[in-house]
Amino acid sequence: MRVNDIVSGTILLLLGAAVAAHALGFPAAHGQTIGPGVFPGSIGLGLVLAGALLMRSGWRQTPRAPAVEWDEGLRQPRFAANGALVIGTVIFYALAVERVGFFPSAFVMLAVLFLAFGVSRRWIAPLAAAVTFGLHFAFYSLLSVPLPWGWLERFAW
Amino acid sequence: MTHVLEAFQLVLDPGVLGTVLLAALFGLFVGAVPGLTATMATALLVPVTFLMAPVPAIACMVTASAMAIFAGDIPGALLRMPGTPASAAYCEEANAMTRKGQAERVLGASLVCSVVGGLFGIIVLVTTAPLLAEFALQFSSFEYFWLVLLGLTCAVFIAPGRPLKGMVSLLIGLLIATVGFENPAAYPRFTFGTEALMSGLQLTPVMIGMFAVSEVIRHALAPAGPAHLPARGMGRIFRGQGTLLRQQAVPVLRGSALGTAIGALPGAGADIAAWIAYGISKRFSRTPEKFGTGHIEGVVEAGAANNSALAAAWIPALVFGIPGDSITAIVIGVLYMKGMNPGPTLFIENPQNIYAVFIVFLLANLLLLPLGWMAIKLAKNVLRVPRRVLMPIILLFCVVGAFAINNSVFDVGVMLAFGLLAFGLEANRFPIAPTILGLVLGGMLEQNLVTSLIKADGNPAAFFARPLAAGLGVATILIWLSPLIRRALRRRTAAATVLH
Amino acid sequence: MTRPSLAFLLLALVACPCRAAEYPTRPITFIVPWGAGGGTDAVGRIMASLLERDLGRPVNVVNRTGGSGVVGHSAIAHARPDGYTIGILTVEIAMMHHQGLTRLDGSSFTPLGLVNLDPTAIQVRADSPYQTLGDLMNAIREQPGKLKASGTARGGIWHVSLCGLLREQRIAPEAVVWVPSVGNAAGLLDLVAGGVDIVPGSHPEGRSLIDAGRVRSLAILDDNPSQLYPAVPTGAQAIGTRWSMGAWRGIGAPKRLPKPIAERLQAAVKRAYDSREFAEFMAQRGFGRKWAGPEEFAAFMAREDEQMGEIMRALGLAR
Repeated sequence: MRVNDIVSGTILLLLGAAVAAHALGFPAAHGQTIGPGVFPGSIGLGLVLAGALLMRSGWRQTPRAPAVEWDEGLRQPRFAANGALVIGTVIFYALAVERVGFFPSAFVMLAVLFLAFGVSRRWIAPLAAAVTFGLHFAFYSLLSVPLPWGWLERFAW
Repeated sequence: MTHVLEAFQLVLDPGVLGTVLLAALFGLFVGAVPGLTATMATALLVPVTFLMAPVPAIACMVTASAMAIFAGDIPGALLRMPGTPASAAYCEEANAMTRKGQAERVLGASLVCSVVGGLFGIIVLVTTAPLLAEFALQFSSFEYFWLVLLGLTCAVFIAPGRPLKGMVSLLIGLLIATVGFENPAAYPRFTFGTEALMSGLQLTPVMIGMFAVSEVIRHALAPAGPAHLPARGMGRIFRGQGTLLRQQAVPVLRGSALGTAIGALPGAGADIAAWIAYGISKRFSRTPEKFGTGHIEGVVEAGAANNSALAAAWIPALVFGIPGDSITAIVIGVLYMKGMNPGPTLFIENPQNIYAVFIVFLLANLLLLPLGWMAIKLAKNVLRVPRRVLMPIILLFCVVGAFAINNSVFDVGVMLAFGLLAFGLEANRFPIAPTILGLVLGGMLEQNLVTSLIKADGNPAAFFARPLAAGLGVATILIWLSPLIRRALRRRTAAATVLH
Repeated sequence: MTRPSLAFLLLALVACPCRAAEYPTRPITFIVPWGAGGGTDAVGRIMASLLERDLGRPVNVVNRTGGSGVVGHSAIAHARPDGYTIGILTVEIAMMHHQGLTRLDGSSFTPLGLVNLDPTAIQVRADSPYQTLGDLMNAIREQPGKLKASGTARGGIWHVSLCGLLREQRIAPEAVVWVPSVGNAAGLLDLVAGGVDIVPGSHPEGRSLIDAGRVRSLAILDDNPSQLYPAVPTGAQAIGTRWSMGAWRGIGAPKRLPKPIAERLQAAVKRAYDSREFAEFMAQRGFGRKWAGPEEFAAFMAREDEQMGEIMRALGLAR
């Protein structure tokens, strides 16, 4: 998704203003001349300034770019859905892994994305299973990262 | 001399050599996986070293970290996903070379320069450690403040495209760095009441998100992307590297020296060294316009800098027990555990152990040549894997890597959020490298500014009161003003020619 | 009842860890709220390995970092109280709730035993004009606001401890300006570089620079002399103060732990503490060994909590 400089400038200006306003509300630190709000406050003001400059350059640009331009990928439903699936599977994994465990969550994540990206159907399950096991071995057994067991707690090794 | 012989005996023991080899393979793997850093490689080795004798314990940490810093370049060059934060500075440049079909050249150069930089750092460590440590001890918050500002100026040099957009990216990075309550006032900022945000947004999940996850999203949305990455030209890795090294001798040596100096300073490690080296390389290059299009110059300079910084970080650690970076912070604990208490006495009481550590450093860097070669050969197979298979696997690696940092799923969320942010930024031609730099340096900037002002009772003149601080301050200001000065000079000569 | 379901029932009976007498039947998770490679991590790992030997089941160390210790502490406090999640508690748990950063405090846990205490020691530069703690206190009294101290974040343990000492000496805490630092090493570095004048901290943290002759330790604020530097005078010897505060570490479990399990774990922690390996490890790292059993540990945390709260309110750090 592409926006022109006027839109991105406006977003930055609003973000900067919100940050600066919020930072002004930080209480002064007892015994310190510079309070906790000064640094983020100046960054906020910097963003306001940068946003204003971007808006100005967008305004002067001729011919002016359209406010919002969608990438080709986002306009085609199939690819837009793939993008959503990437985000969705990560969210799914984050929500599921502690309860369900690493093996099912990782397998589902891989299988869904393989399917979406067009990997040949009969390869999906074996490939996803092999990668899941390989990763588990590397991270859990070799690097001792405590990947959650979830449903498979009883089979934990 | 007997101590040196003893040290060789300690190192050239089959058990020690075997440990070094295993640690090397481990370091290569950890470094090459986006999200697992050299620091993490070292931390993961701590429980293993509980059971070891002093020399092999230190040997495996030295080896693993050196391998990891190099291996971070591999996914950076091949996939535009830096394996460790120290490779982030030049990852776009290296990837641009891969896309030109020069993967072999860039990885070979980065390997050779890593070895050269590492050896440079070791030579300095062996010969001038006490002297350099003494110098590093002169740095107080005033000097660090200027150094950080100098580092931030690099953002302006490294950002391709419009400077205004680079500035915006830098500001976003600085803003991210203010999250949490680890600021001089110990006030929780932008935490939205969550406990997980209290220590702020950590570099690693943000980095994986911005580089790797955004790339996966881009792939998903690419209707007509290539099925494979260009895999040609992965034949002979070392071919032409000698000539290259001769041509690029100045950047390589400058990067090594800079990396050593920055590494020896407590609190600034390989990550910062690589950024500053890349910035300096562009600033002093005769062809700065080629940077960002797949130009080897910045890669060799920064690649040498991060490996030399790694060795130099041991200087304050061994001489004064002060960590030079996050890796040596861990190592110092292990040194105490093994009765090799850091400090001047270490060089007097146990010289054979300290010589053994030096020998291990040499060995690890020489071992980097064959093992790095092997790693590149193996890694090139990644390019043969169709992207539709590769991308989901990379995403899973990212997710697990982000989880592994704090063992919490919160960081997976952070990673995803920054993946989306980076996707949006890049689609609108905002560079992401300055954001990472802002995040790396933001906390240091505020900390050193505020503590300096507290120490000076609010008097800004104190930033120039110490000779070292004054020197750094003047240098920084001159670098800022140099375009203005040059323009003024040019106008003057132009005016003069008109007059005559 | 069909045969398969009978078999299943038998299996379930065997697998079910219903009776506490059988505890532990499966691996135990040991949470360390700080990063791998640090001091707390090291103490946690040696404890875990000794507990593993005692309990006969794997004790796996998990570093749950983030939130300056809060995330890991709350992971211990909120785990199921079944004895399969325990962890290491650090001094921050008595401090952070006063700043409004968490609701957890010492009473959110089942204490299993205090294992480590490193009292505050007062360090100055080796070429500093102050030879004794008395000299230093007089200088602070004479010129309030001139001397600067560093060694931890604002509101960190060493900041609070120094202010406590000043209050006890009837000096306003503002008489020493606090320069926040990220960790004690950074503060010591600034001390050596000439940026600050005083660094309160523990002896293991100051060890390398004290040994290198760059830093002088004036006194240790504890009843007993330092385990690393027995020649350094105690607070009582130096200026007649009994004021004491320090960084501590102890083992804890979630609240409402069943009594038999708690007793099993408490006994195991005590045996681990008494072991030769633990004593050797602590001596190597220079960490102070200090034991307090469950009840004393709980009382200790309550006392610390109250003391910290009082000082932090006086400093305007409490929220």
